[in-house]
Amino acid sequence: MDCRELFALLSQYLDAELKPEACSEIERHLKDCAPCVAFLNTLRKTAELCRQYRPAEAPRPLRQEAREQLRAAHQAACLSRKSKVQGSKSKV
Amino acid sequence: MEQGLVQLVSDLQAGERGAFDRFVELYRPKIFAFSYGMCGHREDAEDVAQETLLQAFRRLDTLRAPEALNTWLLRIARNACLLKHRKSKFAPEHEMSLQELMPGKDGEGLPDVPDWSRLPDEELLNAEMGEQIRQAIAKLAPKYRMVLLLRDVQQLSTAEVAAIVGITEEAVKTQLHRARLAVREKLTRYLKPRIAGAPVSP
Repeated sequence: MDCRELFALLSQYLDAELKPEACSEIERHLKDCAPCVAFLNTLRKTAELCRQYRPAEAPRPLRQEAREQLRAAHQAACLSRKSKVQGSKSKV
Repeated sequence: MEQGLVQLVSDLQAGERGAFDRFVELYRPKIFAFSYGMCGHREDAEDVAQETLLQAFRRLDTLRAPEALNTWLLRIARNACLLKHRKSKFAPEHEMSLQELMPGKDGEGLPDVPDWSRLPDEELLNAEMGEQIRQAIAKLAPKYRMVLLLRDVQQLSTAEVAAIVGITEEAVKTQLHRARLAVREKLTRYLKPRIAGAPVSP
């Protein structure tokens, strides 16, 4: 396996999504290729940093109007569900 | 955790008032975090979160597997983000090839790669790096950004991401890899001046 072939598989290797034979080939290549080792290290770190990433901003507290809009939708859905259930019971 | 979700959905469908508050408190920040990553603006992300929650309440009966609540919600959020995107001016999506993301020349191995992964945590986990990551993610074309946000930031499985986005698992893996490579490249350019003297891989 050369650097280019390995390059295409690196994320799958990091995520343990490759078959053991492919992993062994990659590991054999890595034993003798410092640039690929460095590349893999930085790709692994990139994925880790993305996992820890959180947006710089948080949502503002829900405005009363927006909360009421959601509550109304919830209540309407529950009423509709109750009348469907009652409707199907009365057919029995 | 699953049992808690099943109970929450059951309580929601039964109209329990406490369930409404719990659901909004738990899921509004999650949906906002995903939407903020996609839209890049707080107001847009709040709009998407509101629209997602509205749709979720209206379609609660269509949720077949309560354990899949998270995935179901993110699918609704994804559609809401796409609608928002369509309304804004956007450059056409650029398809990234592995060729352009791989350092070095065709037919050759990788050139020397600066290994910034060994920089101390104080350098990699500070606010400046957070901003660099945010900018790198924001620069990705929407389809790559979405997969990266769902797979790495939201930490969903390949199968879950495929179900949310409506693509094959192979496509998720391909797009994720390209997204990670693009972010890695931007972080490398930013960190290169800081790694003179940093350990080189043996």
